[in-house]
Amino acid sequence: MSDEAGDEALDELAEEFAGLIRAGKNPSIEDFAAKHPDLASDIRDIFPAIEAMELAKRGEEKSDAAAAKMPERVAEFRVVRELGRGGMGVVYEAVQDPLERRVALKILPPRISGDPVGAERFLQEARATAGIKHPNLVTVYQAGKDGDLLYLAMELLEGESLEQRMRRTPRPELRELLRVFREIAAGLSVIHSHGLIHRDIKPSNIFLEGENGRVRILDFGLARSSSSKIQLTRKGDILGTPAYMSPEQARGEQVDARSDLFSLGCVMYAVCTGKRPFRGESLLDQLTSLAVDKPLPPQQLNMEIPEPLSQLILKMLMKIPDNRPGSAAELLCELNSIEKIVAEPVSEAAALPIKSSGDIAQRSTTSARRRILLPAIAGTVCAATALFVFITRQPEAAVEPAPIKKAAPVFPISDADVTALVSAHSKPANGTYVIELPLTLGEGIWIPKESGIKDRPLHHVPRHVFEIFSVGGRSSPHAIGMHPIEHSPADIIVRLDKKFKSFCAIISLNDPVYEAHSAMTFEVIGDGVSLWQSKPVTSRSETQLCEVSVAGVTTLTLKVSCAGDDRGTHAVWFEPYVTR
Amino acid sequence: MSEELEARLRQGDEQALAALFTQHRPHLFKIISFRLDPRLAQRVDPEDILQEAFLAAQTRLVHFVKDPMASSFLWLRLITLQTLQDVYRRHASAKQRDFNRDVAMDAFSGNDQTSVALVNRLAVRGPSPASIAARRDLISRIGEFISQLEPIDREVIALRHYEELSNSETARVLGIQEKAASIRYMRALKRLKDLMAQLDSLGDS
Repeated sequence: MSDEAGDEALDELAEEFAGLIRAGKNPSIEDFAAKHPDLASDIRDIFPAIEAMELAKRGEEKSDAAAAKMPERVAEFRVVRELGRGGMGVVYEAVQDPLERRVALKILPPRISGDPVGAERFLQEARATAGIKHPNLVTVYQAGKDGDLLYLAMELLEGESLEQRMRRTPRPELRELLRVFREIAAGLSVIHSHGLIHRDIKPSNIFLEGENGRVRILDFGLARSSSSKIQLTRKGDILGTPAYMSPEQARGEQVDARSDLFSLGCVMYAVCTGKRPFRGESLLDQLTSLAVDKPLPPQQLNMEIPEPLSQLILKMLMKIPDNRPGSAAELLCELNSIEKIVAEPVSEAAALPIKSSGDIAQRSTTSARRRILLPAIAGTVCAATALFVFITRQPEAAVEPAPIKKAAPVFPISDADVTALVSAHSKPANGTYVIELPLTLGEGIWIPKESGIKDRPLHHVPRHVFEIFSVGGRSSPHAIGMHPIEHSPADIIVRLDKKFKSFCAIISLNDPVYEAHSAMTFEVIGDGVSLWQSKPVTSRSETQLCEVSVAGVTTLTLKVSCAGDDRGTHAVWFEPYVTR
Repeated sequence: MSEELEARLRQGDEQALAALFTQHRPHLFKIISFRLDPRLAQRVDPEDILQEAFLAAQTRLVHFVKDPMASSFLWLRLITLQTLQDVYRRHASAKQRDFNRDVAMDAFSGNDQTSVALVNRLAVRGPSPASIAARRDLISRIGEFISQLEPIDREVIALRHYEELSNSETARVLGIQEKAASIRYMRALKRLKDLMAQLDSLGDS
């Protein structure tokens, strides 16, 4: 049945069916089919997809919810309050009864405790770690099972994770950072000396205790094991954070202690530079990056990092384990010697590539400025080049104009203004004069300041706007972006000097949160006269084509305004061009 | 009760706003969890976004009074998404100021966020492969499938299943007719079913 009434009825049933699953019920597809014989085949056809999606969702939520309910008591522990949660379960503060000892009690998620083999394995591994005591490792008191709950009692620590610290203090002082690295290496060497591999070294597993921030490594021996059938972390975690994983671990191969050194290398890189060494837009990209990318030396990203440390980190990030430091102990030695050099009095430290703070401040300003400009320039070049902005002379108008592959314009940019001025030049290609967009076309691209917001010149435009335009899910590297807000339209002024015949453009919107803005209107104005106006554009609406004659026009203004919304949006024209 | 609150909200009543926000909070939380980029999730707490969204709703209540949307839920959802977007932007511009060039920017691509979110969610359902390499294969299959869907169909699935919007809310959000939304939904579900069959056979092999 596929008539309209049937579709409507089917949709209502689908909504009802999904609602039942969301409410925790287990509706039967066959029951639905039996109750609605006229829709039975459609129901059998599509309900399995609904069921699968909703059940998958419920599975996640259920395990979260189960873990979320705070138990009053687990074995001999009285649960006091929740401390935090993660992929490995929820951690509570608890009091161990006969001892009156305050502990951190980790309750593992049901998907682990529910699997008898997995649970047994967890207990074995956890008990093995319970014997290890070291100032840089969290002390595990005991592990056990109470009914369905699998738990791990650990020393209760006060402080914050390295992850939280990184968020709070993006640029730690060099000596502090070396101390942290040294202590992690020390803790790791102890784990390794017990024949254990951590397998999940990452900033959230490194705890900085108390005021002096002593390193305590968490969750050692608990992470997933390649030889184990169970995956102790959630699938979602594997999805979300292979960020600190070694290449061999990502491939699912057997790992040894050097895999942990790679992960620690990633952590150190991130701490030193604020940037993970291997990154990607998607998991796939990230894994590809992990497999092929050679990260820049940390020193290039943060000149405060001394050369030997920079080299050491790169060595830890070698793809082949044999090329990394041989052991955590070896790493510890190297860190010790770097720390010694850094600790030397300032006069001697001058030999190190560490600049005095004034110098750093100055250089960082320059390089910050350079960095700010570059994306803007790159973006402009991108807009200018791939834009298919070309100007054909009338006699050669029949010749297929070729887009420009590469542009080398000069971009004097004044920070005080938002004008990106470009020098004009043209070059013949196949007898057609192809001219990069802002060049002869106009004097530049104007991205107006947001009204009321000072100090946000051209480069306030987020990088993505310039680097990759995505319009309605379609990647549009040819676009020009503008950011209007209410009462403050954005203009691009193009000087045509009566030399051109027509202007064409495809118009659409760009915004990552797809409907989080109100409609835009694009307008083409020639010498103050409106030549064309778009229908209201949202990122949902179809792209619109603008084609107007600009014969005799001196100045063309491309205007974007924002209707009735007080926060504005990103807007784009894409693939505009003019012809002579 | 709810209708009365809606009416009071249209009058600009802040208490009604607070009550309605509390009512919709769990739903908004779900929406944030779905939309929040996993990489930004390390830095951003959905609760903070909700908090901020509420403050934004307070300051923008005048706009709602002037130009009310179909329901307070859709309005609050919009504000929540805008807040989320602001958070992305803040991370983006902080990056430009910060010498350190932090990692936040990675989380903010101009790419289609719905696709990314859907791939991640659907991949949870697939078989659990022995290695990341197998998962990578799975993800690329799902990604390929998602990219074959029309963008609006993609949104329909995201809105109906992951944001748990009704068909009429979905239609409003997308600015299309309810009937059209429904047809797109049915079509996307059929294709999704085929994908799931593929994934299951992947798990069996």
